[in-house]
Formats: sequence, C-alpha cells, structure tokens
Amino acid sequence: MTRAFACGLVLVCASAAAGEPSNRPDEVIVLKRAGVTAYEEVAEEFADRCRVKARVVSFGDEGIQLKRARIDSGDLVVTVGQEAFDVAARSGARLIPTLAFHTPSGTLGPPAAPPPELLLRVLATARARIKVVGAVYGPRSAASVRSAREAAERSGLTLLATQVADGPHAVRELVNLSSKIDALWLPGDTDVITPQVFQYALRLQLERGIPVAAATRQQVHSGALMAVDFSPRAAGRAAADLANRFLDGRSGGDPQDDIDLYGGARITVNADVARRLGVDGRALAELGAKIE
Amino acid sequence: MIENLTPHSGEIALGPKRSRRFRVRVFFYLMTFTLITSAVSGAAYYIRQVQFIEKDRTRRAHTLLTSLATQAELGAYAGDARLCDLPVTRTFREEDVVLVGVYDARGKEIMHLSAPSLGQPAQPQLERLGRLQRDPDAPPLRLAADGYDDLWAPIVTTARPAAVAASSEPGGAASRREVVGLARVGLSLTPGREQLREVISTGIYLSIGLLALGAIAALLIAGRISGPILALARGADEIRGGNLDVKIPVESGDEIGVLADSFNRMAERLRETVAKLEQLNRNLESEVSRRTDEIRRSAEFTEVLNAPIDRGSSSGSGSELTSLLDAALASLMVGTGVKAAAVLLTWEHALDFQLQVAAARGAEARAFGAMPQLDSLKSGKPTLEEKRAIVPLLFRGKPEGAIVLADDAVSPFAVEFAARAAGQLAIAISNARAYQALQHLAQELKERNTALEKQRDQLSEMNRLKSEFLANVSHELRTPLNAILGYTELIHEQVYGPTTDEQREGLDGILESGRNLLTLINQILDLSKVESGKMELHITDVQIHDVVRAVESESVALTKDRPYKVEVRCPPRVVVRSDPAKVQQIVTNLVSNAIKFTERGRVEILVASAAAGGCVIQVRDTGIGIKKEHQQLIFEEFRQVDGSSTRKYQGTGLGLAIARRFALLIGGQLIVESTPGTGSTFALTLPADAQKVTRPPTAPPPLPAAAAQGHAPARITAKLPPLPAPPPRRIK
Repeated sequence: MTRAFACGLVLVCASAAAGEPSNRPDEVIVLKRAGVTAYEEVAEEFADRCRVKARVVSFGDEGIQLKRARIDSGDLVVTVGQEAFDVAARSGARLIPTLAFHTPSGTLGPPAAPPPELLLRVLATARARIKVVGAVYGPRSAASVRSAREAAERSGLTLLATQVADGPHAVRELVNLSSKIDALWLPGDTDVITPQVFQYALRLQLERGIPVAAATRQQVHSGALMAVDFSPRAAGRAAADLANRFLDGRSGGDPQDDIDLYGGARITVNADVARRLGVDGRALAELGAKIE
Repeated sequence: MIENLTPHSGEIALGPKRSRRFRVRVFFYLMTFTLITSAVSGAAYYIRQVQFIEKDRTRRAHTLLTSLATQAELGAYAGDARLCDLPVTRTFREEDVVLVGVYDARGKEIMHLSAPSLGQPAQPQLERLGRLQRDPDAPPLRLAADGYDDLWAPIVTTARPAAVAASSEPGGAASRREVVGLARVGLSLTPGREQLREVISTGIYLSIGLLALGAIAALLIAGRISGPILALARGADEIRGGNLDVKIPVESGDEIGVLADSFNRMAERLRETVAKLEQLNRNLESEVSRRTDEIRRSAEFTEVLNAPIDRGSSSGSGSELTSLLDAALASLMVGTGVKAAAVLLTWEHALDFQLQVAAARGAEARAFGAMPQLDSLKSGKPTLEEKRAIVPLLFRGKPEGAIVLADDAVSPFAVEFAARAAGQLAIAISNARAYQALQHLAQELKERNTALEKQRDQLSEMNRLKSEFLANVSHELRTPLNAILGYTELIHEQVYGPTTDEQREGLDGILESGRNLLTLINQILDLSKVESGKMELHITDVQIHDVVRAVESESVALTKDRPYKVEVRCPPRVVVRSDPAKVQQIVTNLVSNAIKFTERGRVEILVASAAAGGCVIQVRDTGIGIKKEHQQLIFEEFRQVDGSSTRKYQGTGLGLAIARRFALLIGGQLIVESTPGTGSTFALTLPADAQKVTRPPTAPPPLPAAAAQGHAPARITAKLPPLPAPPPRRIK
C-alpha cells in the first residue's frame, strides 16, 4: 500500500512542478455543490488550514457561471466533488481536486479513494470464504480497476469486474454477476454507480447474502456492509497543505515536503448488516474499522 | 231552533263503509309514501353501491399499479425482464387481474403476462401514453378494452446527479424523479358485474322488505289515525243530527284528542245556547204580541187622525178640527186605557199665546186642572204628575198644545203611547189649522180677483172711450184748424188785399203755431188710431230707393239753415212689401229728428238688404247724442229728454213713439244706438213681406222694470245690424 501511495504522490508532484503559477494569489477559491455535509466539512477544514483567505463558492442544481463567480485562469481553486471539478476544469485555473473520483492524470490533489488493496483486505478479513469479488465500472474507472485487479491477484482473490456503459447496464451486469461472486465492490464511479445500481446491490446483499463494499461512508449508512474512504476533513486538510505549498512557491513534488495525503483513510462497517451477514466484527475492528 | 238541528231525512249517516274508505285511503297514502321511500332508498342504495364498487375498483387498480410500478422499478430501469418477473408474477396472481405488463420508458415491452382467454393483448397506444411517459406525477390512465379495464401507470425512479450520488448522503443533494417505464394492469370486469348483480338483488330484497314493513306500519298507523277521526266524525254526525248529548270517546292527548274535547265542549255550548234561544224565542213571541197590539192601536189612532183631514179637504169646514180632536181623544183613551183625556191647544189672545182646552173626553174641561205654562212644553218631554200626565204637542219644535191624560194613576205605558201619538196628533192639528188658514186665504183671494176684474173692465172701457174721444176731438179740431190755416195763408198771400209787414209777421206766427198744432193733432190722431186698432195698412211693393229720395227731398227745407245736406247711400233695387206711407213717415221722422239735434256735422241715410230678406234703414247723425238712461224714454209718448219749459229743442214728444208703433205695425223694429256728444244711429228693420209677419199688438209691449228705471232692455239696445259698405254716391 505504501508503494502505491508513493507512486501516486510522485505523479502528483511531477505535474505540480510543471504547472507552477507565475504569481501568487491572495485568496483561494473553494468551489462546491451546496447542501452536502461532506463537502461542507472539506470547505471548513480547508478554510481553517489555508493561510490565505478561502472564498467559498457554492452552487445548486442551476449550476454555476465561472465568470459570474469570478473564477479565471489565474486563480487557485480547490474543487470539492466530481461535479465541481468538472465545472472548474473549463476555467483554466489551477485546481486542487478533492472527493473527485475521476481526475485527469497529472492533477495534484488528495485522492478520493484509498488504494484497492485496503478494501480487498478488509473484505477478506470480514468473511474468510470470499474468493471472488464482483464489480462493475465505467470507462473512466478502468485504470483504477486494473490496479485493483492486480491487487486482488496479489491478495489471492479474483476480481470479476465488468465494464458497463451506464446505470441500467450496470444493473443488468450485476444480475449476471450475482450468481458468480462472493462479494460485491461498488467503486466510486458516479458515471455508472447510480442509486438504482446501489439499490440493486443492497437487494443482492439482502436476498443473497452478498456483502457490498461501497465507496463512501454515507452508502454504509444507507445499507452497504462496509466502505473504505477518506474523511472529508482529512481531504480538506490535505488540500490546504497543498495549497499553502503552492502559495509558498514550492512544487508538489518536493520529497522533503511530502504530504500525508492518505493519512485520513477510514473503514466504516454497518453493524446491523454485519450481524445479519455473520461478518466477523472483531477482526474488522482490529483493522481499525469503525463499527456503526 | 231545535227543529233546525234535526237531520234531513235524505242525508246519509256515517256508516261502516265510509269509515272503511277513510282507513283504506290513509293506508294507501302511507303505502304510496312507503313505496316511494322504498324506491328512493333502493335507488340510493344501488347508486351508492355502484359508486362504492367503482371506487373500490379504482382504488384497487391504483394499488396494484402502484405496487407493480414500485416493484418493477429496477426492472424497468435496467430493462431486464428478470428483475420484473417477481412483481409481474405476483400481481398476475390476483384474482381479477387478467393482464400484467412492464414496459420501458419508450413503451417497449420488457415483460408481460396475460390470461389465455385474452389472447395477444393489444399493443400500447403510445400516442395515448405520452403523458405517462413524460410526467412522473401523471395519474393512472384507463383505456377501454374488451372485457377488462386496461390500466396504465408510470414507473418512476429517483435520479440524482451522477457526480454527487456516490459521494454524498442520499438526501443531501437535489434529486429528480423520472419515468423509467410503464406498468400495465388489466382488471377483469366480471367480478365487478357479479358485485353489481349482488347489489341489485340486495337492493330489491331491501326494497321489498321495506315495503312489507311499510305495509304493516301503514296498516297500524291507518287504524291509529282513522279510529279517533272516525269517532270524531260519528260524534259530529250525531251533533248534526240534533243529538247534543253525545260525547266523543277520544281520550288521547294529541291534536285529535284536543279536537274531540273541543267537539264535546262545543256540544255542551250548543245545548246551553239552544236552551237560551228557546227562552229568547218565548220572550220574543210575547214581545211581538205586545208590540203588535200596540201597533194595531197606533194604527187605529193614525186612522182616526187621517180621517178628518180627508173630510176636511172636501168640506173645508173649520169644525173638522173639533171632530178630529174628539175622535183622537177617543182612540187615545182606548190606547192608553186612562179614564179621561183632553187636548190643549195654543190660541192667540191679546198678542200672546195661551193654552185652552180644545177637546175633552171622560171629564169636564176644568177637571184636568190648571193649564201648564207654554214654556214648559218646549222641551217636548212628557210630565207625569200625581193624577195626570201632560204630553207636549210639538210641530217643527214649536208647541202646538198638549195631551192631558187624567186617571187615578197614569201608567208609564200610557204616557209612552201618548208621547208616540203626540207627534202624529201635532201634525194633524197643524195640518188642520193650516187647512183652515188656506181656506180663508182662498176665499179672500177669490173676492179680490172679482174686484180686480171689475176694475179692469172699467179701465178698458175708459181707455176705449178715451181713444174714441181723442179721435173725435182731433177730427173736430183739425177741421176748423185747416180752415184757419187756409184763410190765414190766403190773407198772408194778400188775396184779400194788401197787408203790412207787421200783419204778415203776425200771420207767420199764426201759420207756424197752427201748423204745429195741426202736426200735434195729426200725431194724436195717429196714436189714437193705433191704440184703438183702427190704423189701416196698405201693403204694396215699396221701392226703398224712392222712399229715401222722397225723404231726402223733404229734408232740403229742413237743412236750409244747416251747413250740411242729408246724404243717402242706398242700393238701387231694394224692394220690400210694406206700407210705403208708414215707412216714409218713420224715416221722415227719424231724419227730421236727426237734423233737429245736429247743428253741424252730417246726417246720412244708409240702406242695406238684410241677409234673411227685408232691409235695414239707418239714419245716422253726428248730433248731441242720447244718454244711455234716456235711450228708452224717447220712445214713450209725450216724452222728451229735456222736459223743462226752457228746453232748447221744440217737439211734441210723440214722433218717435208713433214711429216705433208704426214700425211694429208693419212687422219691423226700431232701435237706437247712441253716444252722447258723438251722435246717434236709428235703425229701422223691415221684413221682406209685412203681411207674413205676425203683427204685434198695436200697443207697444210694456217696458220691463229695467227699462222703466232707465236701463236699456236687450231688444232696444241690441247692436245695430251691420251694413255693407255702400258705394259713396249721393242720390239726387
């Protein structure tokens, strides 16, 4: 896991060195969708940590116009969530993405999901007879799934992942996979993992006893067995450290200035679901999982 | 009165049949009400049940559709029949479901099950399902199908923004609902129809049951209502039949009980009333008998009073009053029953009125005591004393006398009878007295008329003798006067030798005085002829033009001292039938007068034909005029306006009187219109033919009082007839 973290960090630092701004802004813009608790926590943590003023820009269902929000190419923007990142990517500004699962390669920011090894290890710990883990993913998650498949092989597991085009396709593939898998992993791919897909996954978990490993803590609260994700505040904190570094004129790739981007990873387990499925809670607790 | 309450023999008494009719009628009324109520209840039940069944079906359909749409959400979302299998199969198991289907949002079938009897279900009509495909909140749609209801509903899922979904709590961000498919349920109509049949049969049974219950209730109620009413009717019939002792046996406390109680009270009151009426009837008969006797005696008294008047009207004897009073007293004593009665009458004595006994019966006059004071009678109220009663006799409020009733004790009835008779007796006495006065006046008038007739005859004779005397005297005077004038003229003409100027002046005076005297004598002679009716008329065609010319010629001598000549305006052919001498004499007189009273100015004669025939001759002057009050006096004999001895204008005062008498004699009229200081106009109206006109008496009609007092009568002062404007030329 440490190696993977290091690789990710190297990639991030390299891209940061290449895009260093010529001037240093006196404020950092935080762009996020309004009304999401996790996003609010990211923004709060960032504002507390950032050494310059953090101007928080929130938007709703109507979207946002960059010009009206006074976001241009010279700004440093911290995006919260995939949607904010996709919007701000059009501005040409320097971006620090948080809680975004799909970012272009070379973009420096705290990752949205922990490395798949951690998830697979937690699954294997939760139920020892799990050998085949099923998954569906979209085209933008192909790289991470490839990485996960390798990690599964290293862990002695089989990742039976199918690429799908959209949510309905994902449901159909889940129907197909349901008879072949011991557990189900729902990656943080918002392109295909729709509420209906999540709903069907929960149905499989309920009807067939297939444990579901989700992408966020909120999905655990909605009925999934477990999830491995980052704390929003940790993401905000990492984003603030990164922003401060940029503001100091340093690049993200400086080894002595390494940032603990993965220190906030957390394991959340739904106690009720675990009990119904006969999952070993003590073993999970030993891994640091929070049983809720 | 009792007899009136007895029922007529022809009336039909209330019997059992009638009572049955009433009860049956009440029963049928109630049954009709029950029938209507049952029908309405049955209909209401049917409608309510049909609505309930329909509502239940709709609710059930919605429940099934909602359940199917919810369960098939993922199947529709994924378009996978495997995910739809369970909800479709489960829904299809429902008893009345004949078709279940799940379709994607575009209407493409994902899965469906249908009953074999339906065969291949109809394909969805996308054009009708459009709203369901677009609107997640669209209500279920019902399509017509053969034998079942084809119900559709949208399958809705909640979509969240893709970027948010995985990283936030479920409700943390905005979400939207979208249609991902369509659920279809076919509900068979058969169960509903069976339910409807059950409802109908239940409704019929319910109505029949209600009807039966209603019939029983109607029977009971009809008996309950009709019983007391029939008892009432029987009681009323009994009362109508005269049985007032009947008591209606209704003991209930409701309105019918109150009515029965009222009937019983009414019967009791009727009994009391009938008893009172019988008593009143007896009293009335007694009173009627007494009054009849009284009226008979009053009639006899009236007859007694009327009889002498009739006799008096024929005989006119004053002793009838005594006879009247005797007869009245006799009748009065019979009517009042008193022993003696007298009539006192007022008599004028020494410029005062006193009462004296005019008649008495049953006792001598002095037995009736002292005469009452006349003033005590003016009130008209009877006076009852110890042994006599005095009843005043008033006629038009004036005391004529009094009736005195004398007895040991005069009863009030006798006084009342006498008071009623007093009025008639007073009238009879007044009539008798008036009749006596009338007879006296008639006799006096007759005697005066006889004296007047004698005086009239004497006056007529004297007038005739006067006229005759005047005619004779005038004739006897005229003959020697003509001789005097003739010889005087001869002397004046010096036939008997030369005369001196002084002698001729004396002769001129003789001639003038003689001519005036001759004129006066002639006029008196004419007047006497007219008055005595001896004036003869010679009627012929009169050329008015000739007459007027003759007058004009005569006037030349009269106007020789005047600064004017008489002017004549006369159409050439104006002819009337009249006496030419009389016409000329009238006009000459008028012209002579006009010249005499017109010193300057002008005198003119105007002639015009009248519209109704005849003509009008006007003599108009601008002389001194005549006052209004004198305009009538000038037509009287020997009258002149200025009658003083120093008068300016000479004349006999007979000219106009004779002219007017001549005008009347020839059927004409002579009137005057004058204004003092301006002039006068005399108008002679002549009829077309004097013989055809009713000739008035030769003497002029007496002037009315107004004329005698100087006021002009309408005939004299009437407006002069208008004259057409003649051509302005003089007749020579």
